[in-house]
Amino acid sequence: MTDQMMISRYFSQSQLKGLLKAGDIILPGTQASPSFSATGCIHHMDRMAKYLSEDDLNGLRMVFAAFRWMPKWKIKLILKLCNHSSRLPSFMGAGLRMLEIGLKGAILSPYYANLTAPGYDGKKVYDVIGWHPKMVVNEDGIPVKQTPVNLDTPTPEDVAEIYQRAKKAGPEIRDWGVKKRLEFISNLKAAILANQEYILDRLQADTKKSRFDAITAEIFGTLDFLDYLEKNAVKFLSDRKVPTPFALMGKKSKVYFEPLGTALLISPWNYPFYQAIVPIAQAFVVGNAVVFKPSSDTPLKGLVEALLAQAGFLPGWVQIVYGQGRTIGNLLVDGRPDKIFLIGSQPVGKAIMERASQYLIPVELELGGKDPMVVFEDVNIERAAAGAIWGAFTTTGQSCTSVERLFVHEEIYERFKETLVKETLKLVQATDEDGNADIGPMTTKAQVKAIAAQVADAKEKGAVFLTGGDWDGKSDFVPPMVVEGVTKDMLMDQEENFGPLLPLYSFTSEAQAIEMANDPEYGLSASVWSQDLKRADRVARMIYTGNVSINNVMLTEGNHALPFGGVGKSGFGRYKGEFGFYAFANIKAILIDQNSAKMEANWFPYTAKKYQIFSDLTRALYSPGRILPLIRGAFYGLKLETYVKKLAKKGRE
Amino acid sequence: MATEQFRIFDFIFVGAGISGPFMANDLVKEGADCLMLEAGKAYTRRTYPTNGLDGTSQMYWSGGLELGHDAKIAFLRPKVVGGGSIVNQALVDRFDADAWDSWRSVSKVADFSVDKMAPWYDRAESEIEIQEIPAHFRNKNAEIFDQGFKNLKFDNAPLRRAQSNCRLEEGNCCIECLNGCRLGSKQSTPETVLKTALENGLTLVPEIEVTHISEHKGDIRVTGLDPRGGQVSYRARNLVLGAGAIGNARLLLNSGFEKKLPHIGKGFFCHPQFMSFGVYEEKINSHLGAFQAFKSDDKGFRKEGFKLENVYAGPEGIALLVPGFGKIHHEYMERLPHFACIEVCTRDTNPGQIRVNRKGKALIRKVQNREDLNRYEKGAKVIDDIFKSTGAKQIVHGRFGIGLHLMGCCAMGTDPATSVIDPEFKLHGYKNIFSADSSIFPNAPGINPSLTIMALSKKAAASILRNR
Repeated sequence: MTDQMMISRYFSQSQLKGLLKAGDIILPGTQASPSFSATGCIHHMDRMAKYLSEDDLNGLRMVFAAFRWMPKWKIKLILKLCNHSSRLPSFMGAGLRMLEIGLKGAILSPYYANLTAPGYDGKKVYDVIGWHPKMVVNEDGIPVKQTPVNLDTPTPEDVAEIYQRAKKAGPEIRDWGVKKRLEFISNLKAAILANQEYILDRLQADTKKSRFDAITAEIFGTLDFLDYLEKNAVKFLSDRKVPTPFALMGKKSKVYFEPLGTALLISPWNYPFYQAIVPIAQAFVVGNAVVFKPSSDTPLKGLVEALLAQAGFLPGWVQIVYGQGRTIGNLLVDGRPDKIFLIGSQPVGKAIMERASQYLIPVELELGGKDPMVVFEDVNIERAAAGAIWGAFTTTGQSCTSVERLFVHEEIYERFKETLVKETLKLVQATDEDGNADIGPMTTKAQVKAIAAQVADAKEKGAVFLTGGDWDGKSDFVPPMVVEGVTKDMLMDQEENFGPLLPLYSFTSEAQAIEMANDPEYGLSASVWSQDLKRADRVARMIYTGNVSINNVMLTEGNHALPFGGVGKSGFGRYKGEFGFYAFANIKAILIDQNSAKMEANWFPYTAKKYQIFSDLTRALYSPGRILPLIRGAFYGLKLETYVKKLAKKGRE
Repeated sequence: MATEQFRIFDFIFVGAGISGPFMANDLVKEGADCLMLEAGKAYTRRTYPTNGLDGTSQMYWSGGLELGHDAKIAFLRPKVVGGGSIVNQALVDRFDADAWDSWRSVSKVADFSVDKMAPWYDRAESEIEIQEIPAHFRNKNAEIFDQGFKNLKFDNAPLRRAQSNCRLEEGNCCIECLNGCRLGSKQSTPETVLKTALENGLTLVPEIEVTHISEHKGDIRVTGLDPRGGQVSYRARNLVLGAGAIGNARLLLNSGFEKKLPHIGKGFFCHPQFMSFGVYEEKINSHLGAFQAFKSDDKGFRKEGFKLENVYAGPEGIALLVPGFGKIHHEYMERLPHFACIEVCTRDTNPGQIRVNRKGKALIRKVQNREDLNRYEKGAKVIDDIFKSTGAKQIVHGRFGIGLHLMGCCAMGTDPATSVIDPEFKLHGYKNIFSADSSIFPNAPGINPSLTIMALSKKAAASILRNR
């Protein structure tokens, strides 16, 4: 067990460390007995702390905090003094006895209750002390175990139980508060770091992607996002004051950010680790319970659960449900989560949204794209070409934001094409173990078929394959293909390809580039390359899309402070960054007035005179000018207030 | 809940331990409209905690042990629907002549004696099942106790326990019942009188900690803390205090009753108990089977003011009692299966006192004077002799005493200056506030109090019904 795995609602990290230190002095372990820290029973401190009186709890906090920095010999000395408390004068003895009983109670109780950290496989304390009392309970008295729920292809009954558990977990998660929830996130970070190589093995086994693709996008990206949460979530979730207008003088206005309840998250197969942890972490940090469904193609079965458990998450907080989307997708929606967040394809998005509409469950969809890359004549060709190759072929083109259409200014088209082809041919394709391959094979058979159809269609209609033209249309190892002469009637031009296909087009003017780049359907991301940043910015503004990288590619996702999401059929809603942070939040408006005898002008009774003053007030307040409306507004406001007071006292005349 | 707050009940009971349910059961049968408020949670056979950590933290005040001002005795005060009857060892003994004689002489109330109480004991016993542990189910810890008594020529007797069917033949271990009996065998009030009272229309609201009572135009208004936040208040024509010695004292003190009744909180007794362990060569496995089968029944002990009990505790309790830390501690605990255990329970003579601080928290002041310490030392000496005579290799004395028979603070008596409850179980000067729980004990009887609480509650209920 490592230090960062401890989380408590009642004790700080520092206090827990002090407790752990004292715990190992009182229970250092022997050949037979495990030490206090080894059992991880410290994980269960809250089971006791929850029931302590505030005074006792504060006492323990103080003692633990003091022990945190106290050298061991001093703690031992104190404990030795405690042992001899009966020989000391009564006032000292009492203090020491309280300390001893409090401290030992806190340390011995969880240890001798046989409690351990999740996954502990050392000696159990009950075995060491031979504690095996028997209790044969009759049918009537059998303590009900939690009904086992099948998370793998659940039945409707299972799904009902899953949501029941989530509902129960919701208030629990909420009660921790954001700071404490972030401790779980820190633990998760540590767990991911500690298990990085294993995660990469599992990722490669499921996705077949190259190890480098896996580490950069899935490990680095995930950790970076968790880091962002750690640094920003408290700020984002703090209550905010907003201005209260003149007409509502004397009142206060605030905004609270609260969890929605249970979030259903559905993720695709292309980045199965990143797309699992990131939405889970974001929804959790806001305070939601999570039901997560990974793609059945890359389920990473058991991996995310294990990491979450290692980070101290309880099973009900994040439940991971496996199965084919078409069989369990509807069931999961029928369980009525409070929010559905889906990253996936258009057809899946449509189906989920249709189902969710029956219950009016809010959905947020991150769907595919047909992302353009626009290269002007004034770029560094080597860099832009390398960017295009990475943007089109990273993760073997299986990214929703990968470059699917490359527009190059006619002036440099030929030179650019030459570099592009030359560099593309250098790519190494393998599922490697050492990080020496650039791209892996395709992850799913279905996608290989889809690409084969696009390739056959393009070949038939006369497209020219500058690379990869020799692919047999069957092998998973779909080579990177740079294609020229792609026309509007080809599938490759119209459909998302989600593979290593890069159609290359030329353009003559900025206006034409914008027109070509603007896809009638999709609008997820784009990139614009030019020495002239003003021009690049102009074009970036004109492209109908959710994200644009200038002189780089797929990089908006690299900054977790930026929101992510599309327009058009690429989906809607934003997640990540500050603007996307509230995807899982109930943004609650609060207006606070004082309890008083005062009546409001807009309440009953309505009278003709009140109508007149109110009408004067409206005119006064919103007429042009800066100072005068305020003065006149104050005048009529006062008049209105006086009249309302009179009305309250005497009633309608 | 809201509807209950507008209702005017005939009786509100504060505390659903032993006394409240016994009284309520008799009152609802006669048609009284009763509400019972309890600070603790209501558990069922299915939901009792199954380990010591959860048991002590969830079922006692302050999450387990409470300490007095000098921290020499740790007090165990149950906070659960069923109170002591959930967490005790279910010993049911009548007070003997000595106990009632001293009750009479302290309280000056003539109405209490072995004979006069016998019918009430009979009625209380008729509400529960009482059994003795059959000889062949006694475990090794009990055998050592018995053997030691024989060796030293002291008298002992089998224990009478409030239990119905422990099915010891299946290998059940009584130690498991200390956090609530999952077998439903222990005759706790939720299994017995509380159950019938609820069937007969008693309203029970758990998890309401009553913080204040006041009189309002002849009615009693009871205010409590709602666990979901905020306060709740209820009204009734009569009030029954059943929150035990500390609970009743705290509530009355916090509600300003000490102005009229200066004795509230005084006269606190707790039968300080001290466990000793004999460590044997062979395994004793004191935790297995029926671990508590005997009590001392020796006239000499009674005169000396102590009794010995054949008991045991959970590992987290014993771990707190063995001395030292580090390797020394582990050495003790690793030999736990070799431990036998006997406890001396002293009949304390020096009264303690309960006060409240500014926050309304109960402060316990309880000192063992020379006489009380002598009683302990004499008992501990006998225990040492028993262990030695039965071949113990080592003897370990518990690090501190335990107070779990919490009695007094609202003593019965005839004089409002030196007592709180009158001979009719009413608060002096009030027609409609009653108590019959352990708080009314004028002194320490030296005998386990629960059966007597049941009998007194029956008597009080009858007295209320008679005067209605």
